[in-house]
Amino acid sequence: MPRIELEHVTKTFDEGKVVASDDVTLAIDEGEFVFLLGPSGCGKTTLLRLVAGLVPPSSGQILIDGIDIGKVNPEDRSIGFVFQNFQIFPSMTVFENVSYGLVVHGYDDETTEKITVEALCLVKLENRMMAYPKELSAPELQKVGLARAIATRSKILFLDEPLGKLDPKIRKSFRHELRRLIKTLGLTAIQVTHDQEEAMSIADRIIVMRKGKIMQYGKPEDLYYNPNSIFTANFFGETNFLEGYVSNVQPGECTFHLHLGGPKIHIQLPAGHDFKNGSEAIIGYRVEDIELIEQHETGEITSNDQDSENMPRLNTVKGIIKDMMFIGPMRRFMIQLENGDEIQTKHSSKFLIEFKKGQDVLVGFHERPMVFLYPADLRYELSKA
Amino acid sequence: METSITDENPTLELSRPDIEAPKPGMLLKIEKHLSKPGYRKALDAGTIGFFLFLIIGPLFSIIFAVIFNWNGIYTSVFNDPITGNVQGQIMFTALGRSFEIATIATCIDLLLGLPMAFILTRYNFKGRKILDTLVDLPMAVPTSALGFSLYLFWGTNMGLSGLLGLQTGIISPGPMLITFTHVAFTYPFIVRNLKVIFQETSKTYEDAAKTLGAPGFTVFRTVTIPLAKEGILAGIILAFTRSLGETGATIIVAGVFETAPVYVVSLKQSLHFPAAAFLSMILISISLIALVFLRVFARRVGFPISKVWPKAERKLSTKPARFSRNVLGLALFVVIVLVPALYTIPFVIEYFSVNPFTHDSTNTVLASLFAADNKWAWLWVSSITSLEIASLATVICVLFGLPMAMILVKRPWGRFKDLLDALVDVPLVAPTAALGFAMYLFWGPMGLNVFQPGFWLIILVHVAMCFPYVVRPIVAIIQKTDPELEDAARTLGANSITTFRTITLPRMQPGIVAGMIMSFTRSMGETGATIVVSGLITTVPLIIVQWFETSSFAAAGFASLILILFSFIVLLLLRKTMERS
Repeated sequence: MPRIELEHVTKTFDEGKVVASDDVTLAIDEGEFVFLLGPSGCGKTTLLRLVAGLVPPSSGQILIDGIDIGKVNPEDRSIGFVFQNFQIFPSMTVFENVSYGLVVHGYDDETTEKITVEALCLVKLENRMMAYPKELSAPELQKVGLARAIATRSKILFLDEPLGKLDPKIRKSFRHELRRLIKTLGLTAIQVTHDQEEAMSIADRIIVMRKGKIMQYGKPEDLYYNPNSIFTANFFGETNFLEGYVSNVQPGECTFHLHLGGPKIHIQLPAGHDFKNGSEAIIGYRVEDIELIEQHETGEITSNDQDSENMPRLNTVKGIIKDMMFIGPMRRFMIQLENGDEIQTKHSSKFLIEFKKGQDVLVGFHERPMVFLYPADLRYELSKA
Repeated sequence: METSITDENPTLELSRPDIEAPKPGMLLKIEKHLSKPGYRKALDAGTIGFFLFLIIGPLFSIIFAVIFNWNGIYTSVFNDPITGNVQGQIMFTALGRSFEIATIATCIDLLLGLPMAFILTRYNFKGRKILDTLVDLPMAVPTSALGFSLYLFWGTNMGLSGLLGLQTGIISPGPMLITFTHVAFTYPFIVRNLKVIFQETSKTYEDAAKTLGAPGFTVFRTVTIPLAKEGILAGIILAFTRSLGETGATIIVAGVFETAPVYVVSLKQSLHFPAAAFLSMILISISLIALVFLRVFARRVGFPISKVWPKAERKLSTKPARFSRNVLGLALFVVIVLVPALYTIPFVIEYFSVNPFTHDSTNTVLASLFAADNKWAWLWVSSITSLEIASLATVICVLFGLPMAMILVKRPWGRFKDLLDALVDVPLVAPTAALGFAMYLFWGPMGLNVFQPGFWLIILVHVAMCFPYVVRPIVAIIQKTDPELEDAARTLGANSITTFRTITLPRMQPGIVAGMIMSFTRSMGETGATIVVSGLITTVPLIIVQWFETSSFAAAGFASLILILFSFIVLLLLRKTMERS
């Protein structure tokens, strides 16, 4: 179970015009299943190809088990690679494809056959051994790709969007099988994806990349609840971002003023922040974290949230329901706040009070939003590229 | 794929540490050794050296030869003490005629070829495949055989005029017959080019234009043609340069008339070397300019599409208009290209043992082959020579063409590679007679004095001439192959040579076969370049020319037929391998 380390790895294309990998330093522990996540073209695949030796880095060092592998040919790195477009050799049968790695290593026929059959059994393709790639469906091709990569007995497995070409339904069942297989064989694995849900559900750790840079690296829960940038916050889940400024800054808390003369809300600040009185800021709330409260004429209020007592103290802001949508188990609301900001909320359909379009409501914001200093270019931070 | 194996079967073979280490065999060991970058660099250098020294060097050296010997050449061409500038005048007249003929032939080609390419790509009908083969057929006819065939058909009373009951030929040898020959000879090239382009341009664009209300002809003019622009230009330039440089067929149908490449041949035969060098240089320069134009400017040429004439174009798009276009396109193809090009076949059958006019054996194939001068033996020897030359030239082309194709696709060399890429096409457009003469000057007694005219010089010329025909299809197929397929092999533990043997080479096979067949037929049928460097050697195309000149039509017809049959078999093989890939 090898450990992979990258030290200041940079890769540029087209004479430096395109930076696919920008001073990347990271370590992947033995036996870890890590996901590389980011928008298309952010350099995820290039990072895999760099470590696999398929492209040389412009600068920096790549180490496996502490040994610099910069001069090692890809065929000697012992890294299994599953390609997005499968890349099953078209002129060979399934069996020949899977045994290819063993044959070119020079294993004897008996061992080759034993291991090949075993790898094919692991992916449940043992009855398609003599088929040619053109007779196979996309999921079967991907299984061949997987079997072929693990049959080399490499202890490292790279998967470049292995599920990208599959139907969404098959994709979901496939990903858990994939994780089980990797853990069974005790592999150190890196998988590239741009599907944040896929990464969240099966990764040990996730690397979030953007324009060749690593934005954040951590456990799925960390990335979801403690994103270190607006980009990461925007990338996972659905988030409402509210603009404004802070005042009354005290250790651990402050008052946030929604812009355009909007209402004030009381929020907690993370340790080690850079906020001063008057700093412009962005706060973010997940769509599922915002409460909708009905205010009756008597002044009595009812909330749709059954656990409202357990939640932190709520700031309430007046708003009006502009539109609502029914999406199966959930219901989605478009709400305009009193300062004109529009936000979206999402609630379980089951426990919902009968809200109507055009109805005045109180919107409940809890005290622990994601808080960021106002960035130089907000549009850039929020863009998906 | 449920991986429930783990619990019942904890000792997976895949994760057993004590499995026996692999023992690579001899082949794998050698391949591993050869995978070192040093060998690759040596091969690259060797290939480029071969290409520059054997193919490009002689071509360019003629330009320098002319510049360095300018005074001598000037005297002999423009300022001869006896003839003055007569030679120069003849030369420029010949060049002018060549241009005229090439221009007219290309225009006719386009007019005939556009509807044909359109029929072959946009219509689905029974017998389309057969029509497709028929269109390619004239390509299988070597040029001297083609010229002879057209001469028989149009120029003698044994052809069309015989069928019509006339005593003399309809078109006598000269500019008109040359133009007809060049149309027949370049037609398949232009249709083929257009066909590929139309196949590549998606029909959905045309459908989109139709849903917006454009009639068929307007769609063709404003959508199809601009999308196919570069390909059409490439086809035009290829047809134009081929026509400009054609020798083999032209010699036969020209009569006393001389085009520029034919004049190169006669200057060389009459030992007027300075003039031959000068004219060769001009021809090669023209083809280089055409190539540069194609490479650099083709993309910027625009077609006027802004104006639309709805009424007229709607009329042109009606059913009767389309029908008559299709029928006319087909009919003209049959009358101008197909039948004349293949006329040798019925001719040889008709004249095989009995002369249809005299009803005895005078001038029949059998009689003239087995006459006292033993033509059959001569034909036998030349056939063997032709086969030897074609095989050897093809093998050399493949040996160097394969690494060249790899270089052109895979090496990250930027500008230098673009230059190599352009240079590979030079022999494609250079007139073969000029190419042959350039080779003769470079290697022959007046140059390095390494090769005398004869077998080896013919081989060199044919290698130069056929090289692009081998490289291009291989390049095309490598470009179509996803490089990740090779990456996959590398990550599985195959070194670069093993990857090449097990993955790349099998993928390239159809391209290699296609290139070999193209090169083989080209070499078998080549006349112009061979005449210039043949010395005492004769090949089948040369024999056809000789027998034609001595009016042994029946024997020449039979030699043509043998050449056609041979090329036809090879063309069938080509189509087979193309379909399989």
